[in-house]
Amino acid sequence: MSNGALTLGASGALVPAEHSKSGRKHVAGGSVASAGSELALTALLSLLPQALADGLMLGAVYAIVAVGLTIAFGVLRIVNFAHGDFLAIGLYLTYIGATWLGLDPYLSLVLVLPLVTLMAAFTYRVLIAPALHAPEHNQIVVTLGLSLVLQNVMLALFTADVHTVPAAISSHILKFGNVFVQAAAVIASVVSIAICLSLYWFLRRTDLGRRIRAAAQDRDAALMCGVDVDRMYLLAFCIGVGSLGLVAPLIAPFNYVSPGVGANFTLAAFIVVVLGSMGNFIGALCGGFIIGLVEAVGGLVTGGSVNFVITYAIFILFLLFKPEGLFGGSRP
Amino acid sequence: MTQARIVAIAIGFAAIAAPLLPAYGQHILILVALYGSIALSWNILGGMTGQMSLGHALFVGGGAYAATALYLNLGVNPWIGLLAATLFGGALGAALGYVVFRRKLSGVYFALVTLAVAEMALHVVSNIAALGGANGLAIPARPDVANFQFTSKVGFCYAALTVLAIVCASILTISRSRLGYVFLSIRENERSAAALGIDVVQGKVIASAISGALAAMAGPIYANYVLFIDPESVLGIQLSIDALLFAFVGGLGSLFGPLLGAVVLVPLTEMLRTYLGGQLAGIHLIAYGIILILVMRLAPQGLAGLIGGFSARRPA
Repeated sequence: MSNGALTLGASGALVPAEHSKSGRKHVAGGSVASAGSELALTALLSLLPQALADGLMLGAVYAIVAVGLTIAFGVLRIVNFAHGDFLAIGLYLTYIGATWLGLDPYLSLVLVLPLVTLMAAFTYRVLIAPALHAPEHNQIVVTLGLSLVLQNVMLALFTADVHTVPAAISSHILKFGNVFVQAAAVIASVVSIAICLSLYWFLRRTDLGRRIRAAAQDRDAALMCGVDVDRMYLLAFCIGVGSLGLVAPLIAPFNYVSPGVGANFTLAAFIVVVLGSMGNFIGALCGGFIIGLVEAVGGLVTGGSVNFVITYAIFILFLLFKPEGLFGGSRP
Repeated sequence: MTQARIVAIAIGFAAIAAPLLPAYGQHILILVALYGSIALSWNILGGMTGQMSLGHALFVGGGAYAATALYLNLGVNPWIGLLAATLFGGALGAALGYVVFRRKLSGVYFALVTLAVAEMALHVVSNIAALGGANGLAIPARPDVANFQFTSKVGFCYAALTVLAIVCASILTISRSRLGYVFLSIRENERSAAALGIDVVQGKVIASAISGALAAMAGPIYANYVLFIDPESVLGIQLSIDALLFAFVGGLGSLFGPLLGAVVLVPLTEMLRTYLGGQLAGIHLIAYGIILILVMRLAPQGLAGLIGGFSARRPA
């Protein structure tokens, strides 16, 4: 209301005024639905492959953002409302690298990934670890507070202006029949899927991954078996949040950068994580694609921002009737 | 008793002082009273009953839109609109509570549902032309008490303080009745409460309805004061966060702690925005975040918990 929101409307902080999809540069054929009925139907059908392709690209990005959130939740049992803001930080770091140092987004990866991971470690030590044994609502409030601070520090430093990251690859468009996709989006989604799968392999097959899962399953039993639980928690949080440092440079060539972009991704990631069962890895991957497709196809059919209503409706129905998600409550 | 007395004296003092204040002071008084009312209503569900809502903007915005749309589209008198808004907020709270609590959602799931419902409402309202869509609704200025528009800010001071007094009186009545103990038992231990024969779902639905109705009262006052509402300002997530922020900083455990949160934070916000807002947009939100984290770390009982005599773990 007045004092918070009046400035906020103007500044655009926190308020997800533009949902993640409208934050993207290519929105293929979104406003077709207003055309005449029969003509519209054929137009819709011809644009469906494009919407599906867009949905898959978007879904891959949602998936990796959600996988990070679900790792942190599955292991630490903490819901991080500041998750997406770390992605925004990664995007701003990429932007700084591109404008100040003239680095291509893909090159700035070597800078962004360690920086975001370091911030994650710092956040864990200062904020998350002390809150681990606090009541659930205190944990939520701490991460909400962190989100407020991060978003508005970005707002103070970079203003509410929307930036784009200059990249050599931005203008490359791939054409498959009638479907146009940006090369950068293809790279981002392929890498996203690869990261998801390799994280899955890491947690399932390596010794370290096994120790993380042990810490997640039973803290005390893991401690007795000689697992350094606190260290595993730190590691899990750093992997979950640090993966955003890897994603940010990849999606930078086809995404806008603004202080509020993180909040959009946080919301989307929550929807994906609940859909795919909190703490479940493969669930987050599949959920990401489902939500990506729903948003893209919903946007094609309805036009405007009605498709967010559809996404939220799905989310609410899942929370009400299947809060354990599609894939059951298994932990990573 | 003492808590209630302090709050009554403070509201009375504010009412006497209101005409003597400069216009800026009156503006802050109105904001404190409105935010205090919203945070206190949030606390009925979030603090007294222990169900943390992340979507209280739904009720405030619902109230603001109900009264404003009735006035602009059907010419319904704003005073009747205020009543309608309160009833609408209560109905929204009851409906939401009935659906959600019957599904036994609590904790973070309840927080996410309320967040999603409020966000969905924002997008729905943004797409309804009769409600002004994303552009919002402007109320034509026709200063007249019959129109709920006052020529000076003093009138709005009294309107906001009256709402605050109604909210405080409701909270006091609840806390002294059987219902207050029902809420408390639900917060402390749902299973024990159920074992004692308390209808837990019904208790939560009642808490949600009362909380929604009282929060919705602040909406029309705000709308008539500013003469403009849009989805982002009255239904946006920031308002929901503000409600819980004031409550947490003030102290969930105490009856009137959330009001204390608003009394401290709203003037601080205004000062920060006046002196630093020009250079640093969002500076007050950075302060909010830091204060919130510090309170959680250093004084989880909130400011009211710090002031020993003012705090009471159980409703007095």
